[in-house]
Amino acid sequence: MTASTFSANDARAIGNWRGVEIAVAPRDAVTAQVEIAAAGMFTHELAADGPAGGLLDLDTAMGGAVTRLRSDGIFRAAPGEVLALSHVVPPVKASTVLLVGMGDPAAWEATTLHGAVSAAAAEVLRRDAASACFAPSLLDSGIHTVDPDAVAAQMLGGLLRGLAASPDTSLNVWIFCTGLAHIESTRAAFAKAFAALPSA
Amino acid sequence: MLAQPRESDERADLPLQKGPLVPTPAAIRILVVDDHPFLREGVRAVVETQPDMRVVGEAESGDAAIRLHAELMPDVVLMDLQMPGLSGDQAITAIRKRSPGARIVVLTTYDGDAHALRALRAGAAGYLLKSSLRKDLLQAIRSVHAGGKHLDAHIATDIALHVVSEAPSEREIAVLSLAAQGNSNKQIAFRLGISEDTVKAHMKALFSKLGAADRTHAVTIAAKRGLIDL
Repeated sequence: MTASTFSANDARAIGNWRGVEIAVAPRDAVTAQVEIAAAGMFTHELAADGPAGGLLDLDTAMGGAVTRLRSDGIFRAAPGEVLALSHVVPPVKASTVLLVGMGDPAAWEATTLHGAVSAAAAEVLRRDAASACFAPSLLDSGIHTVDPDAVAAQMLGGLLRGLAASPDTSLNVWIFCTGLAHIESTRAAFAKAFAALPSA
Repeated sequence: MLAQPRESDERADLPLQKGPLVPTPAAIRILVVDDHPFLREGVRAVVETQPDMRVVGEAESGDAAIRLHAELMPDVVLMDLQMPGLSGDQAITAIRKRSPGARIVVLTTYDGDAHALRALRAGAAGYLLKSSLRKDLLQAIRSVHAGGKHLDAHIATDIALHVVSEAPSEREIAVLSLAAQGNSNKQIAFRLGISEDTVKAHMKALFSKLGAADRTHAVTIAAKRGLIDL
């Protein structure tokens, strides 16, 4: 299961935390072959023309539902808010998509991702999934000033916090999504963060 | 109102008789609202297989749901939309007005975008079709109880698809509802106190907004989307 999920996503391993294989992969919430695909989403995008990249692809794949749910106030994208969309159909590979709120992009900090990943992980465990991914959607939301080390440390910390809430889990693969152009630098940043963990 | 478990002489109606003898202290307390007894029984049967969930009451109407919610303060309400008297979305509005933190999952046969939007805008945190799998229902209950929201992607896409089309006005909906009941333009004009030409103008606008070819088509589309009830 783990090997096939890694292979299907061209994933690069980061480490194993209490039975959960953590990896980075050049995928997004549409293309990741996992049970649950989580995508971070701000209250709005910094660019006037809305989301780009993987987040735009997700919105397009779902017929505009992602941005419509937000504009209608059904999903406000408040920090830590989670909306699950079940029975998702192709081209999205996952059967369930989680939209995870990250608040106002103008107030964004690396710590924002800690809460977002933690909320996503808690929901994944609640849903008893074996594999999941998280796409932070930073670039897709118009945020270009990013410290890769700080982001990786916060996302990894958020994941471990989420996993700690439920020690008995069927989750065995967690993938952090990134762009193909950034895969090696992202992998290096996560590897550094993982090595710094107290009991890694 | 089918269960009032705060009344000592009605404890026998509680699902505890059929469920675990000692429920988990942190069990999610659920109120099931549906006018069909079989549906309530089915939901109860599914929920009571879970050690972390417990049905604490059942209501057969929107009015009863409001009363029972105030009395039981359940963690999660499973709410049908079409019931005698107060509808589900009206009951959701009333419950959320009194208890803004109420967590409500709509469980319905309606898959029209208008029904879903009304319920979600009224404050529902989840929207599931009765045809959903048992696993979906249980996941939705846990998710909503934890503060999340749950929506069938089909419903979400349906909502998004209709954003491009202008929504019919209240007056247009009133005209179409009367047409659906078999009224002629003349009868509709009389009943709404407007001219026949105005009725025709509303119909023309409706055809355009709904993408309908004729009157029957418009009624069919509007009913399917939940804009009118037949």
